[in-house]
Amino acid sequence: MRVVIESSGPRLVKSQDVLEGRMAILRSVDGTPSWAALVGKVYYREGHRMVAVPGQGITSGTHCDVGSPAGLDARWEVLPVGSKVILEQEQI
Amino acid sequence: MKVEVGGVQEAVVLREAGELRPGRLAVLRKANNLVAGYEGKAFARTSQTMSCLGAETSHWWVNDHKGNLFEELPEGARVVLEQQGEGKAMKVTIEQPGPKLVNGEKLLDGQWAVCRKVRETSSYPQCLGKIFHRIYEQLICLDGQDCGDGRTRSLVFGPSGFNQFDFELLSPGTELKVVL
Repeated sequence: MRVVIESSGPRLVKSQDVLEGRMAILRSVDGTPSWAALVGKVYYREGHRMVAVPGQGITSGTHCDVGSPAGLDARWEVLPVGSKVILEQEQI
Repeated sequence: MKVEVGGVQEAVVLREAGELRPGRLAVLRKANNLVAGYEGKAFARTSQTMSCLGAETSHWWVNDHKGNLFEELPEGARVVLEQQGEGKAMKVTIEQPGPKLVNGEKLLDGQWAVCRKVRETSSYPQCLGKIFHRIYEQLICLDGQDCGDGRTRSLVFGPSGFNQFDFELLSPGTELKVVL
């Protein structure tokens, strides 16, 4: 018997499908180079915004409105329950 | 005579948001009306804002924080954001590192310190929590402390005994309380 497991990878959703308080990784952005640089960064849903977790070196795009940027087909990978994002104080 | 070790802590310095450098983590200790209810919460200083980690309304301009006082977290401290189940807010925990310990061999002449670890093979487990000071080639357990065996005279250790202990240094200005 031959068994092949085909996985499509993590489920990606639009920002409006990220529930309040959930953290998500920006996985893909079509069209805008400035946002493409933010792929891989962690955000969380806060009301009508996706807000970047601080400390990731993001100087622009620290937040965006849900459903925007207009015309972009951004996709997010929602972190599963129990996931941890750790911010550590570096040398002072 | 009794020497109280309690209250031996690094003095906590509180700063305004504008005094924190971008990228630093801090805990709000004294809040003004704008952020009442956020005392004890962890914040991250970004270039222009103070961002409350895991809070529903989380961003304020640094200038909005005038009058608020923050305690900057020390090196190695961590803020952990943990994803909870549906309908629950993120769990935010602040993990502070324990005090830095130095081995007795590295205690410098004139320094005062609290013993935080005693080597298992040591004959002096009672020294745990006691205050020591280093004078030249001697490590002296401060006179008057009850070392658990009814002995209140100073215990004095020479260099061969230094490495049985690890110490937390007392910060300058620490007051020792002696109760007669």
